[in-house]
Amino acid sequence: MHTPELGHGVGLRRQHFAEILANPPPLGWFEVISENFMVPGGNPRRVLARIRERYPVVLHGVSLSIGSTDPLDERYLDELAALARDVEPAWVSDHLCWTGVRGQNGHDLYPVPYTEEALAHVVARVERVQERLGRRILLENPSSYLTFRQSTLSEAEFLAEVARRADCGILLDVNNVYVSAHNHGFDALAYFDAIPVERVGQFHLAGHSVRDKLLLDTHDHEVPDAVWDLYRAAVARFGRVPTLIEWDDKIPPLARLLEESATAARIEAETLGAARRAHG
Amino acid sequence: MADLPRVEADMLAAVTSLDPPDELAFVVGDDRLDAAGRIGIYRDMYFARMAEAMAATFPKVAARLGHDEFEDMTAGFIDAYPSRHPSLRWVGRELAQFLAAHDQPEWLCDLARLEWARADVFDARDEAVVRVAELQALDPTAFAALEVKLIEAHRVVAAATAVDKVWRGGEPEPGPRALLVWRQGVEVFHRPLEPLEARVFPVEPTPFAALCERIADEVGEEEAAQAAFRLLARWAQDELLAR
Repeated sequence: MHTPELGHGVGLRRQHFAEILANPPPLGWFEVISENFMVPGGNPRRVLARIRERYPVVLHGVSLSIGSTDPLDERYLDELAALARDVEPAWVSDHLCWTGVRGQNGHDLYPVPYTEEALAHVVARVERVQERLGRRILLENPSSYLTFRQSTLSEAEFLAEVARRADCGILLDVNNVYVSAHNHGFDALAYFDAIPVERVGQFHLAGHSVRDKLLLDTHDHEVPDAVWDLYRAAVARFGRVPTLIEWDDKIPPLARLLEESATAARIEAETLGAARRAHG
Repeated sequence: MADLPRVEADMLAAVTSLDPPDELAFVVGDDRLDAAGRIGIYRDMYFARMAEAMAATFPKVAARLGHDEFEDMTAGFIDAYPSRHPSLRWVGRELAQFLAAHDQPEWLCDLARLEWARADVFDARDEAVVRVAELQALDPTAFAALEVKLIEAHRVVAAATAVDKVWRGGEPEPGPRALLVWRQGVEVFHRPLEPLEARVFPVEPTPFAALCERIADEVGEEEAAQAAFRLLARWAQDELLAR
């Protein structure tokens, strides 16, 4: 899905509010967690309004629960629509996951079984949400630690088919592909190959942790070398795509995030430059 | 066959139950990690996330209980009151009543009530407020038409103990009091209501004349006007009066 060419951004986190307002950094854009700003007022909304005056902002949600078999939360959608009207984000995204069922919220991004039944269910809900918001959304590939016995499709096949049938975009989280490829033993590059180039509107980059023999998507480290390598492959396949550094826990000084973002910009430029030279 | 609702319900039960089921037929394990281990990752993250969210809303309760006891308490709480809201911000609303039902001391229940109120006003709607200087500039005849309306970002907490002292790190002591919690700009404050203030507090928007009558019933006609203006000035000073 075509998204504006915003370049490189970082996630807006409360710890950096004052510094960003006092000394606006040279960044292309900020991504904000939608739910953190779906409140009537107070400091978060004031800060967001001031940052929005200077930068493009993207809304990234964690609670849409597009895969849940509970009805879509109408109140949540009202609040998200109101926030989008207020912020005028460059785009709105959430995850290919469910967060709860039967009225109970687990506040995590649980994978859906990759079945035809789930596919039809998710497609119908994405269409509903897009109609409600009056815009196309981007869905992010989750990181996951289990496979459902019922699954008949691969995650990449499922995500690509959702995007095609519902006409939505894809937020390709490169770290999540790396983590899930390790945890489930699939080939990350084959995953990329299954994703239609024209649907990818954003990249995420982040760090992860090791737990026994699996990797956990903890967003509490710098981007590791292996994920930078996979990012090179992503840029080579999908081209120049707005790229965001996510760091949600053990949050470092803003300067550290800016360094990571600059690294992403350098790798993107090198990869695209090499591709241009290769094509003469 | 509609498998999806059942699979989701089975997984959520396996992740969130204090006593998870042994049967995990819906998960594929492998030689690196079996099905229970894979569900266990989600379980550990669930309980850790809930404890973290609760500690953010109830930092003083968490500090008083200590890390391990607070985590155990949170697990019991979330089992009794599972989250039903998309935002973690709303987890913990019933903590005071949960603690009371589990024979925790009154001061701890009051502390939970106070911390919930503080979190509640933090992100309430922004409103323009009436400043002290505006009240001072008001023509005396205009007070008759004045409506005393407080901002939404305030709560009154009825405590059975001197919880404001506990909040500051002091020892629990008896002393029923009403605490006013409110936000001024981006900062949250609380203080005990004065005895007269507590008795005439304008829970609903109240005409100033009616407030004066209420105060007169408490302190007598002679002192009513002065007491009313003093309270009004204090609320303006605290940025509590909505425009």
